[in-house]
Amino acid sequence: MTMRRNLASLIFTVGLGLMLVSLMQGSHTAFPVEVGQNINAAGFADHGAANLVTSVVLGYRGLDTLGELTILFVAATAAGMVLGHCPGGSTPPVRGGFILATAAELLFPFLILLGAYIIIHGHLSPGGGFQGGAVIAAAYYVPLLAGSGRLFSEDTGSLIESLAGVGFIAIGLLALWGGGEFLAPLYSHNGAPGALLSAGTLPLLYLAVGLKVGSELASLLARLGGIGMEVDDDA
Amino acid sequence: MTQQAILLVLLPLIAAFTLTPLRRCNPVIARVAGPAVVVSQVMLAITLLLHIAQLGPEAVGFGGFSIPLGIAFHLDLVGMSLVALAGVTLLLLWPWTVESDSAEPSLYLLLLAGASGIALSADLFNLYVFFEVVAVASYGLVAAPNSGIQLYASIRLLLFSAAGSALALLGIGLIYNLGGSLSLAHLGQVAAQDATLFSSVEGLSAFTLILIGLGVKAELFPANHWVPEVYGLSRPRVSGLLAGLVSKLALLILLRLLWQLYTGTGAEVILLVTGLVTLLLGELAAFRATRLREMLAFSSIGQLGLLAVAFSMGNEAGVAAGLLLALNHLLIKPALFLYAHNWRAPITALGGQAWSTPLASALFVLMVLSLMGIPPLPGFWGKYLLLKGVLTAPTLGMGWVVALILFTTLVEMIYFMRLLTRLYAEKSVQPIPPLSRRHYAPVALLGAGLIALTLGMGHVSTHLEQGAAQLLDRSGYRDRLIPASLRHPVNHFQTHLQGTARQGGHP
Amino acid sequence: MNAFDLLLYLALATLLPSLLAPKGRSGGMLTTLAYLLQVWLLFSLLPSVSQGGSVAACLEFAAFGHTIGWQLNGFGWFFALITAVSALIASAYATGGWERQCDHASRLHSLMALNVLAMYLLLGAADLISLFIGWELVSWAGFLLMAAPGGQSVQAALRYLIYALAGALALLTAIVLIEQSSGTIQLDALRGALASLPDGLSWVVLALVFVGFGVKLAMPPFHLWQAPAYGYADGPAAAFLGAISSRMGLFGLCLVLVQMVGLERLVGLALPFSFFDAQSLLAWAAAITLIVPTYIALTQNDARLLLAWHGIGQGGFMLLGLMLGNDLGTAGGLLHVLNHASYQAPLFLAVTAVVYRTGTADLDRLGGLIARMPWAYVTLLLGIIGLAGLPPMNGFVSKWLIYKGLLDAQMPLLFVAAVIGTLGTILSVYKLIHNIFLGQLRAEHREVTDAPWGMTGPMLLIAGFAFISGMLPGLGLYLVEPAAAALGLPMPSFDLSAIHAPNGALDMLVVVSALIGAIGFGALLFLNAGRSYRTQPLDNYAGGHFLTAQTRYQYSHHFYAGLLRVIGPWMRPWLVALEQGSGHFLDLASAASRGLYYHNGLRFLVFGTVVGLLWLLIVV
Repeated sequence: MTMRRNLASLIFTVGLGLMLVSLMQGSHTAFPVEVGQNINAAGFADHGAANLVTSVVLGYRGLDTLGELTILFVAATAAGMVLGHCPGGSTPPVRGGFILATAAELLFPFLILLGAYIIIHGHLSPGGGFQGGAVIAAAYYVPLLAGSGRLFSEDTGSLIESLAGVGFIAIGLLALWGGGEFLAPLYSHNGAPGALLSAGTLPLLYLAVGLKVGSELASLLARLGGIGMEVDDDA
Repeated sequence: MTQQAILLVLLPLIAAFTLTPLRRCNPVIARVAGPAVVVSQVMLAITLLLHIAQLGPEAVGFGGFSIPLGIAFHLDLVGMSLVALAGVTLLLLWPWTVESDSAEPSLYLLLLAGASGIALSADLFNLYVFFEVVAVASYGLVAAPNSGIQLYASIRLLLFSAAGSALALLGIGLIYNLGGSLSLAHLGQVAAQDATLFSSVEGLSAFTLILIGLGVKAELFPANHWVPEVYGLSRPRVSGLLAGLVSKLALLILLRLLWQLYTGTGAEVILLVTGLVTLLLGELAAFRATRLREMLAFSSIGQLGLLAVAFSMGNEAGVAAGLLLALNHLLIKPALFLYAHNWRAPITALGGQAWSTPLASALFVLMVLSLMGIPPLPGFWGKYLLLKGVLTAPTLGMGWVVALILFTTLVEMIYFMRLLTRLYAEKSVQPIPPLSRRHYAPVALLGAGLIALTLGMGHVSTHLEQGAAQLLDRSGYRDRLIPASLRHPVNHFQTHLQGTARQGGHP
Repeated sequence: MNAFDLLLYLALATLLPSLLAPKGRSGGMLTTLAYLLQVWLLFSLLPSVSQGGSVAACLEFAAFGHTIGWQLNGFGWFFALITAVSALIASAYATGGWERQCDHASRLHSLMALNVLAMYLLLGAADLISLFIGWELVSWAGFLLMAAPGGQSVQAALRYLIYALAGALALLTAIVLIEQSSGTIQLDALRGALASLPDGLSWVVLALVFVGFGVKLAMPPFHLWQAPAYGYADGPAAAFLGAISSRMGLFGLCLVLVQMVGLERLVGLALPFSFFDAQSLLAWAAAITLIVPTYIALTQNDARLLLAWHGIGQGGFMLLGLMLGNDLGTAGGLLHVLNHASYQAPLFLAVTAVVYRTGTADLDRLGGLIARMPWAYVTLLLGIIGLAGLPPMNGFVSKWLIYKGLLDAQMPLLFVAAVIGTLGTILSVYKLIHNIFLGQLRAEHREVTDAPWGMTGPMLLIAGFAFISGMLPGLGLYLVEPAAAALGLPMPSFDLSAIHAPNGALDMLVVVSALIGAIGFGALLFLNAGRSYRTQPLDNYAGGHFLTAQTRYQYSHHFYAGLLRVIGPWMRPWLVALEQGSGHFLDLASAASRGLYYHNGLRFLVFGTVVGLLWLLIVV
């Protein structure tokens, strides 16, 4: 049985490999329409953001980012449903040693700071909402792993999550009702390029993204950890 | 006015985002909020639909940038009708009696948002993103109750579907590599200027990869292995949603890609062959099904194969046939799954079950007859148009296609008739479970929809033909989406972009 | 709102009495009355549909660029009249006493009314789509009627339905092809429209139409369903179905072959590498329909199945006549539809009366009932004389017309085939009447009486009509005339009792008077020849022993042993084996498909990868 399964997997892998190899045969040196170069050329002028990736993620393809946010949200919701009825406060966390617990407590504010920095400077340097949000979620996970008991409040978490999501959409709708199109970048050129206060609504969007992603992932990780819902208002 | 089309995606999103904290504050309002949002969504969709029916299809841009840098929606009859129908279907199959802290209503709302996005979007990656929303939401719905076997099946579904999505992404990447843009209209323009671009090995491979990837959800061979297992185990309304709604959405993405980029290449043949194999295997497998759910799952596979065949014809009759068959399937399959929930016993033990619920069984018979294609029900018109489409298609070998379609239809008729005669046999001595109360309303409403469709076929036919013509109107699609300044090739859109970005559109 | 609309509404209303009054006889009586009204309405339509006229109904709707409507012309009117009268007789029979032993009488009445309505919708079709709608409705209504008694009839009805649905699919394809090549679906506009199609397409359309309509007519190789389906149905329902239901296939075939394609085109459409053309091919198909089921009939032991197998054969006669194209053949073919209904119905009803009284239809367990059920015997006798085509019944007239038409059209081989078919007919109906009514009366049937007058009356009525229209064939031909005019086929000149053909006329008065004269002469001889002695059947001896009531000396089992020794080797169940083989093949294919889905994706992956690699190899 295993033999057959291995054989079939081998055939499948070889087939897939062959297919991929044959696909890479022809490649084009000149694109018919050079979207990439045009973004390079026009991106900063359109958005005022020093980080071109941000201008693509939030400016040109903002709707896609909203979609990605939604995908994360759906995944978290679905996972939450499946993991759903964890018995509250079942097994007490394994307590790590003294060094681990103290280090975790020390690490926590630094991680929050790092995450916040990444989010806020998303439009200037590599980073942004998704990355920063993941770091913030990690910030809540480290104490969980070390067993030092700092818990994530699910109620506050979900409130922040929903407000952030609505905030993102609201900023987009602001652009719509202001006479433009949905998610059109506003106030793009109201600050000096490269300064913190530049690129208009883009940092705000990233803030919303970061908060949402952070609280989502944190609550998901908390669920996975199987810890119950003790309210510890600390977000 | 059409700028408000984005609200079709945003309304359910906002509702879904805020539903969880709302649930903790006020459970009653949370219960009502979901359906209320869906109702308002449907009303907005219908308003926009009437607007489009009067004034013709329109394009809506976002972010203030014209394609191919930005994203645009294309509002046409079929897309907008699909949004409205999605809303109505979700409302009919709404989880009214679920526990108040269950996240199912959120998943339904997210499904609606994704469906609206798929139906309206004109950008390839945007379509993929919304497709993922729908896919993940459907995983959640399938996995929701925590029974062991279902969890295994849903994890298998998840893995399989994720692999499919990865393949689809690879295909999209290949298309970007070839065409240099992610906007369907722009890619269509590129394809129109260079006919050999997408008929190369790369182009067709990209199409095949996307076909397999989306085919997971669209129940096409070889990616429909999960269907009997999942439909057999999950709850009836979830099966109904997946079979009725999600599969059509996946198919729509494929079709938009096919018609914009791949007309006149071999991609239509690929879709045709896939559809034929799906149809054949599905209907044959249903022939010896032992339970009603299993029979319906395989029948669903067969119907989706038939849809793929119909759409691959590429002429108006074929597309109209596909639309009508899809509508027929959308109305019928969820109701049939609800019936199957009641008639759970093996088919051989179902003798005489129909006599205990005469009206409901009569409706069941009506639905099955429509699926089989008996006049004057919509299924018949669909099959008639399909034959017309196949026999007027310019390619050769259509005789075989017709023969295969007739053979599989006959097989379908045989097994359904066996089922019906067993249901109406002499009354059995076994205790007969009555149709569950909460299933009455959706079944009755879907049946009423079917009857309304039958009676109103005259009106619907003109709209179907209009919708089909719009779908096939490639140059019109391109003209609406690409502003006039961009309709000549290559790099001169830089400066024009900045100009249009400043102005923005008016709602 | 003209008479045709009224007819349709009335047919719809006929469904109601038995639904609203399920118990008691009032439902049946009202239904019978409604059929009488329908017959009257149809006669009132006669002036408007003769000479090629037609009556359009208000019922119509539009879809997909077509207007779908209904309109009755002479051809449809002819069949509609036969339908209504058959339903009337069957319903009167059922109400008259048969339904006393039936637990689903109201279902029977409403289903028969549904069948009549469906047939009107088919016969009154004005375009291809309404034709198809009517066709499907007729198939479904027929299925429900056949399945009404339950038990083994459901299996037979299901088999019929599968054949019918397969035929309907072929028909739909043909309709799409016709629409595509001629651009219209209106039947009036399609007259002769298919005559200009290229040969290949013509053959395809012909084949599809043959399958579609031939299934209903039970032409071989699609004949396996009809006998059990009609045989196991309820008695009155079997009479109705046997009388007219299969002829709907003939209606459809004539519509396409005669009206749309035209007989000249059929003659011109030659089968490559042979001397056959489409017309002779169809005529031979009709001849095979005549011969094969008729000889199967004489091996049957169930009276109802025997009659049902019979009915298949007569359809071949009708098609044969219509394929000839000359005036005699046309008149004969169409008249045979009317005549067949008029003697098939009393045959079925008489056998049903026997079943009603004795409880069995098994020919090996009956006998000698002439003494106990004389009126049933008379009905059956009149019926089989008509079926065999002997004067003075109307069967003789239509068969004479067809024989003469065959000879006039110079088709002697087909003439021989027709005669062989008639021979088979005579043999099998003799078996029927002998095994039921002649010979030794069984002890358990000593006390049976004739069927009640409510049942015997309608039987005798329709048999009497057959007798009278045999003597006065003009009556039948007068009803046939509008049909021939609508089809555009010629009719011979006729008057009330004679048919005039250029090379010999048929004057039934002369024939009948000769017959009666001969019988009278014989009767005179018999009566004046001396005293006769009445004896009991048991006043007999064999092998030196006197017979008692317990001795069975009735020769009924394996009736045609001698004949079957000769033709038996040719009567192998090829088609039954084919049918069963197809069923098994389907099961196997289905199991293979399911195996693909239920084995952990292993085979699936391998299968899919192999397909992918093959594709790669071919494309790259």
